[in-house]
Amino acid sequence: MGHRVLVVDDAIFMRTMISDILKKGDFEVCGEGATGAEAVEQYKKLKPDLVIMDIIMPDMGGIEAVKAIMQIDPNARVLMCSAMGQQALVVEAIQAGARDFVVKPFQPSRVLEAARRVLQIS
Amino acid sequence: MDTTKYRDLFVSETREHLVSLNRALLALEKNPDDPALLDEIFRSMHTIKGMAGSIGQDQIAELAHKAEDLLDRLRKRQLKLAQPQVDAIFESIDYLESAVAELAAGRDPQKNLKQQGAELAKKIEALAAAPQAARTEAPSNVSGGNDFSRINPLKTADSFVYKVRVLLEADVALKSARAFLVMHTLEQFGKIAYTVPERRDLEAERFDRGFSVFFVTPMHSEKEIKARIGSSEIEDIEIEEVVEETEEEAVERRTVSAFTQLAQERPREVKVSTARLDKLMNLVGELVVWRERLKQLAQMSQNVLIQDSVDQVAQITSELQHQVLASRLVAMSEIFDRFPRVVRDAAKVLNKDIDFKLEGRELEMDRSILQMLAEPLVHLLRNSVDHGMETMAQREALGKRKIGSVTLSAQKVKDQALIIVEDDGRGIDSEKIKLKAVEKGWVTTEQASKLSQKQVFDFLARPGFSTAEKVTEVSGRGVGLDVVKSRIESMGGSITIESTAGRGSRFMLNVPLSLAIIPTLLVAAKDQVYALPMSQVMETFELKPENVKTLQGKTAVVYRSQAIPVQRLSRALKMEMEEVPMAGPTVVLERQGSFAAYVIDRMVGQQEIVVKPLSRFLNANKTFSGVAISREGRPMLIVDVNNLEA
Repeated sequence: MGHRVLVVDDAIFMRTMISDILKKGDFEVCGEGATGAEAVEQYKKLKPDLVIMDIIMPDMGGIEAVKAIMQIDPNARVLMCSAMGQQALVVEAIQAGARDFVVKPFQPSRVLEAARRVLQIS
Repeated sequence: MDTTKYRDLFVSETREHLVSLNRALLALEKNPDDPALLDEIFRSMHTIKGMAGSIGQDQIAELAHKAEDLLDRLRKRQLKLAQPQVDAIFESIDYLESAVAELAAGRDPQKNLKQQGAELAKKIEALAAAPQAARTEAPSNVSGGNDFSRINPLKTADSFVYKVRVLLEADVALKSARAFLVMHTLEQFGKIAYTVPERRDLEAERFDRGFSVFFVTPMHSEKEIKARIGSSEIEDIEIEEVVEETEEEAVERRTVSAFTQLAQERPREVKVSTARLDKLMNLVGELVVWRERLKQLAQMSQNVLIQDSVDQVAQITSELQHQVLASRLVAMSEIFDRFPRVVRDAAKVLNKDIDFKLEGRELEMDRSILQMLAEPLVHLLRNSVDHGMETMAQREALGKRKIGSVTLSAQKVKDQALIIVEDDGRGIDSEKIKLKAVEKGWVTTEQASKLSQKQVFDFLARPGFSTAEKVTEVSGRGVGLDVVKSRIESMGGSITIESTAGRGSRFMLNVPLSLAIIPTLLVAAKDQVYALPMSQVMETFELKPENVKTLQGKTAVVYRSQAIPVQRLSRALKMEMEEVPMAGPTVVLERQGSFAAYVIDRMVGQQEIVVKPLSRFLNANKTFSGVAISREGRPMLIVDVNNLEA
């Protein structure tokens, strides 16, 4: 059965879309969050295999959240979602420990490819 | 090996090398002691040799090889640089140019140029076989194209050096971040010596899809490194171990990899055929048309969501249009760099000494316009050297500097390029021109005496005018200023001549920098569709026969309480001669401040079009300013309203 993924984005629309993509790709969405703070909270509780998280969110942004999650679990696998033009933020997220990133608007195949690569499944 | 596949690549790349060869050799002629120039020439020749050999052009390779030998001896100071050697290298460049032209035309240069090539090779060989001087080897720390001066400091006893070449997928967003991710991953288990392109270029997204990382690591498994990189949106990763090589190996490798380097190590620029750019330009023109239509529909729908999306599409379309226009821009240097050679050769034949200056090489303009400029400019330069410039003896007698000066400059003035060909030669004698004009029967002596200088100089560009006293090898019979003028005008430009007798002349060309997209009204007349620039369309209305009046034998109609001439458009365009009753759809056009009405068969629609200049043959009567492609893909003429008969 699929790997367990935590999906974090402040827009329900994006969460729904990402979750749908993941489910079609045989992943299990084990939890959702709307803020960085919720992401950290959920990570502690659920210990997911993968976190897919937006960079810009209210109440603790994605970069802060990556740092906090890496503190909890240095082996955490985080995949960032970014919009066009957020190059500097993506670089910062990678430095904070994010493993890969996907750029909106999403192509389902790219989201799945990135997720599989981060989890090292082919 | 299939050589045809590489032929075009060989032709275009060799041509680039020939341009830089010409430039460097000219510079070397002036600064014979500059070792960097010799190196540059040597390297270009070497690259040409390698490429020619790889596609079986043995004769080109052989000649390049001989030239390379000669250059190598000059480079190592075993021979002293003198005029015969410079001339011989110029000759080989010429030979290579014609050989490449043969190849480009699909012929085999080994057939037609065999004799010439063999003779030249022999000549160069003889020049190279001069007495030996002390042999000196230049030290080199660059091995195999890899800069070990940057790699070695990071190396330890148990480390290995790898070149990691990454090719991103075609439409990757945030490329810099992607490259950063790759490097960040590599740095988890090794050190990066340097990257190609340099890191700052990668960070600024100044690369296409590929980049190479020179990487020092204790890990000794290409497979393992590849697995670790594992980021998404990467099309391909190639990893090879890099070792310092000997000089011999380096030469060998450079020869073999000339093509692969071209294809892979310089990802910042790709060659695109002009036909493809033109096609792209037409498609963007189309897109612009439909964008306008879509905007209207969105407005009508009163649906905010649709309107928002259409606004987005409109914005992207504008940006696309802008980018396509920008991608068609090339630097002046593309043609300018050929000119020092043109001037040098002309001066040499005429035994004149000329100091040629180029300014504004970096100015960018549309490729097709630039290409059209090349020929007129060559013409003007040759004219300056041949007719404009006095002989050295004459200059001395006049107390002028013995060395004549010719300057070609380009600058941007508003939306146009101003290109000036200027010399300090004998200038244009307006009295002589007046005399000639009278002789030709163009004006009377009395009329001639009242002409302004500008009017006098306009005679120069009239077909059939020539003051050159004798035929010369360089510019023929002084014909052609008329050709230059009509060529420039067909591009939507203009030419102005200024001159002071005894002091010099100046030819100023004003040409557009890029192709224009203009909104037009399409109308049908006599089964043909014509485009009228919207900026000159004042009004359209249905003309009733009873509204047509006759004034002084001409038909007229009242427009804004003023009588303006009216006639059928097909008649104004001289497509129809018989009288047809005047009624039906009519457009009022503004022509340099006055109005005129034209009756058409029907309105076809509106379209934003990409204007392409007409060839001078088609535009003899100046009725049309250009041609464009209709939505159905048919060519249609753009009416030059200012020159339309009223």
